[in-house]
Amino acid sequence: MNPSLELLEELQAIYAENYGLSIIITNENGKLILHPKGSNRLFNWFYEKRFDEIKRVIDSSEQKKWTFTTPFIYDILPGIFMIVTPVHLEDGRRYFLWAGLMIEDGTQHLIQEQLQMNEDKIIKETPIYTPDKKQEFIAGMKKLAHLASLCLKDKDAGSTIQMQNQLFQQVKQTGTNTAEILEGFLERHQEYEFLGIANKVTEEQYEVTDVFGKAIQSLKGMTFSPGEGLLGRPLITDGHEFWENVDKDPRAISLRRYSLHPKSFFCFPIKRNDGSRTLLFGGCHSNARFSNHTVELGKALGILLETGYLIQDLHTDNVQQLNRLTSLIEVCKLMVSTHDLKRIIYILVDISLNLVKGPFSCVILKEQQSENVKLVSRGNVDGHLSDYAKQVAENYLLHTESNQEFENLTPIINETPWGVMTIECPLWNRGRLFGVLCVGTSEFNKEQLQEHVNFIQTLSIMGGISLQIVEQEENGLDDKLIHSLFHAIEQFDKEAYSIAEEAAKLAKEFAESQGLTIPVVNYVTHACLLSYYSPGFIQEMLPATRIGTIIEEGNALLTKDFNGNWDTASVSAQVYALVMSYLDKKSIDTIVNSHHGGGMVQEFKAFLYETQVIEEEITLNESIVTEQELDSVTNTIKQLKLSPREQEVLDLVIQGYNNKEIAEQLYISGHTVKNHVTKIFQKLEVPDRAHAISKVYRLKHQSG
Amino acid sequence: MVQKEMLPLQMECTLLFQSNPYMIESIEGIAAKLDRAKEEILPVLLQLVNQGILQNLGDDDSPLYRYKEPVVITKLDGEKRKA
Repeated sequence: MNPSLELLEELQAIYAENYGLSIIITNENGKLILHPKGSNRLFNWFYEKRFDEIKRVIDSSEQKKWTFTTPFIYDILPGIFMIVTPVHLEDGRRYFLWAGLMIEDGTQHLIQEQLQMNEDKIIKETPIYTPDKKQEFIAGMKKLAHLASLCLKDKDAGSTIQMQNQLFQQVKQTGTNTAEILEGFLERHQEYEFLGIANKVTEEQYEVTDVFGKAIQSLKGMTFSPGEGLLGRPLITDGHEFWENVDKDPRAISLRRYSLHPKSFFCFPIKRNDGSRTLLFGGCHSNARFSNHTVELGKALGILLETGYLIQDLHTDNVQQLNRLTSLIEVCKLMVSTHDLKRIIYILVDISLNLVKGPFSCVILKEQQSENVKLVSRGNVDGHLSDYAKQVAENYLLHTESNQEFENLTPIINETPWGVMTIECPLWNRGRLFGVLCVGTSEFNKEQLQEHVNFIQTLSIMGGISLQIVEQEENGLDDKLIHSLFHAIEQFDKEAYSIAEEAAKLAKEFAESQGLTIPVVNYVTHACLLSYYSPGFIQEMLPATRIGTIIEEGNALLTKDFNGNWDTASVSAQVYALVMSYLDKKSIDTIVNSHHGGGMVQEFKAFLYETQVIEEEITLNESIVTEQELDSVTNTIKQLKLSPREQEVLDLVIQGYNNKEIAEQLYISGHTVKNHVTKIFQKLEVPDRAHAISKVYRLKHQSG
Repeated sequence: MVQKEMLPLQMECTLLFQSNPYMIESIEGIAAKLDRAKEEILPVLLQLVNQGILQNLGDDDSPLYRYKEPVVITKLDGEKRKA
C-alpha cells in the first residue's frame, strides 16, 4: 500500500478508537478507499449484516454531489446517526469520512426492536448522541479530515512516478491496443472520466474516431480543423494543453454542441512516424481543476500512446517493406529470366513508376557500337523529356569511354530543366554501361526519398544484369549466323572464301595492333568474313550489328580512285577497306597515292612493312613444313589401330582443334567427339591430349 | 487503401498486363486472374490508368483495361515510334 495511505489508516484507527466509533473512507464516487477501523459494534454489525443501509447513504452522497465543506450528522435510520466529514483537496478532488454509529438517548429499546436484535449488549455499548458529544465528535472528525487531506495531498505529490510506473506496467500487460489502454486507464484512474482519439482525415480536417468513458459517445464523428476550438488548438501549437473551468470557456462551445460538458479538458498531440498527428484528449465532467498528479498522469498516457503508435507504425512499415521487397524480388526474377530486351526495359520503366509514383520514368539506352540513343518513357512532360534525355545521354553514355569504372556509378539525385527532382540510376554490369534509368519524383521527405533511391538502385542493378544476359544471348546467336554464312561461301566460291578468311585474319591482326576495342576488332573481322555478300543482305540478316554498315561504308571507300571520304569514315570501315584493297591488289600504293593524309592508311602501310613481308616468308616456310609434317603425321596416324573416324579426329586434335571445333569440322556432335577422343586415349594408352600428340610425334620420329 | 499497401498488388497487376499486352479485361476478369477482391483491384487500376500504364477502353460504367506501351523514341533527335 501507498505509505501515505498506511499513515492515514493508522490515524483512522486511532481516531476511531478514541471516539468509540468505526470509520471508513470513500472517494467522491463512493468507492471505498479504506476499510472500517474501530470497535463500534453497532457500526460493525451494520457493516456486516446490513451493509445496504450504509451503501445507500454513501451512494446518495455520490448521486447528490454533496458539496458540504464541514461535518454533518446523518441518520441512517431513525435514531441512529453517523458523522459524514468531507475532505477537500486543492485540486478539487473530494473524499468522505464516515464515522458512527451513535444513538439518541432513550431510544435504545426502540432501536433494538426496530433492528430485531436479540442481543442488547451491542446497543448498550453504542455511544449516546448528545449535543455535547456531537460537538466533540465533530471537532474530532474535523481534525481527522484535516490530517487525511494532508495524507492524500502527500499521495498527490509523492506517488506520481509510482503511478506512471503502474501505468507502464498495465500497458505492458494489456499490449499496445489503444482501446484497451484507454479503457484500462479510465477504470484505474477516476480522475479522468472520458478520453478520446482524433485522427487526420484530410490535410485540413480531423475527426474524433474513438471515445471512451462517460457521456462522450455523442462526440464520435465530430470533425474539426487544426486551430478550431479546444480540440484544434494543440494541433497548431504542437504542445499539450490542460484547461480548467472549461464550463466557462467559450472555446468549449464546439464540444457543447456535441453534448459534451466537461469542467476540465486536456489535449495531447501525438507525433506519428509519418510526420502526421493523432490527438489524444480527455477530461472530467465533475472536477474543474487538474492536480499536478493528474496532469502528469495525462502526459504519461500521451507519451505511452505515442510509443504504442510508434511500435504499431514501425510494425506496419516493416510489413510494407517486406511486401515491397518480396514484390521487387518477383520483378527481378522475371527480369533476369526474360529473353526479351523490350520487356526488360518496359519492366524498368513501369515498375519504377509504380515504386516512386512520380511524374515520369524513362530508360535512356545507348545502342551497342553506335552513338544512337534510344528513349523509352512514360509521362512525357510536355515533350521536354527528350531534351532531358539528351542531357543524361551526354553525361553518362556518350563521353564515358575513358572512364570505365561503372561499378563506382551510384544513383544521383538530379533536377530536370523544368525543375522536377529525378533519381538517375546507371544500368551497368561488368564494365558495360547499357543506359540510365531516370525516375522523376515529387518526394521531399528525406527518408522516403532514400527509400525510393534504394529500391530504384536495386531495380537498376538487376536491370543491368538482365540487359547483359540478353545481349550475350543475342551476340551468341549472331556469332553462329556469321560463321554459317561464312562457311556457305566455300560451297560455291572457294577463292572468295579463302580471300575472306585471309582478310579476316589480316584485319584482326591490324586492328589489334592499333589497340582498337574488342567489339570493334570483332565487327571488322566479321565484316571481312562476310565481305562476299551485299551490305543490304547482311543488314537484313544481322540487323542488330554494324557489320552491314561497315561493309557498305568500306565498299564506298573502295570506289574507283579511292575518293571516298576517308576522313569522316568510321575506323572499322577504313580498316575493312584497306585490308580488302590490299588482298585484291597485293598493294595499297594506289590508296596511298590517291589519298592525301589519312592516319589509318599510313598506319596500315607501316604495319605491312613491319610484319607482312616477314610473315609471308614465314608463312611460306611454315606451310611447306606443316604440309610435310601433316603428311607424315597422317601416315603415322594411319599406322595406329584406330577406326577411320578416330583417325580423322586424332588428326584434328594434333592440329590443335578443340572438341567443339572438331565437331564443327566433322559435322558430328560434341558428345560424339568426346567419345572418339576418349577411345583414342584408351587405345594409345595416354591420359590426355598432350600425351596423345607427343606419342604420335614420337612414333613418327621412330618410323621416320 | 494507403498507397504503400497497394504497391505489391500494383506491381502484380502491371506485370500481368505487360505479359499480356493485347489483353482487354474487365475488373471482374482481372480480379479473377489475380485472385483478389474487386474492391482491392479497383484503386490499383485507377492508379495505373492515372500513371498511363493502362488505358480504359470501356466507359465509366463498364471499364475495360488494356496495357499501354511506353513511348519509344528510337533515335533521340529522330522519329517518335509510339505515342
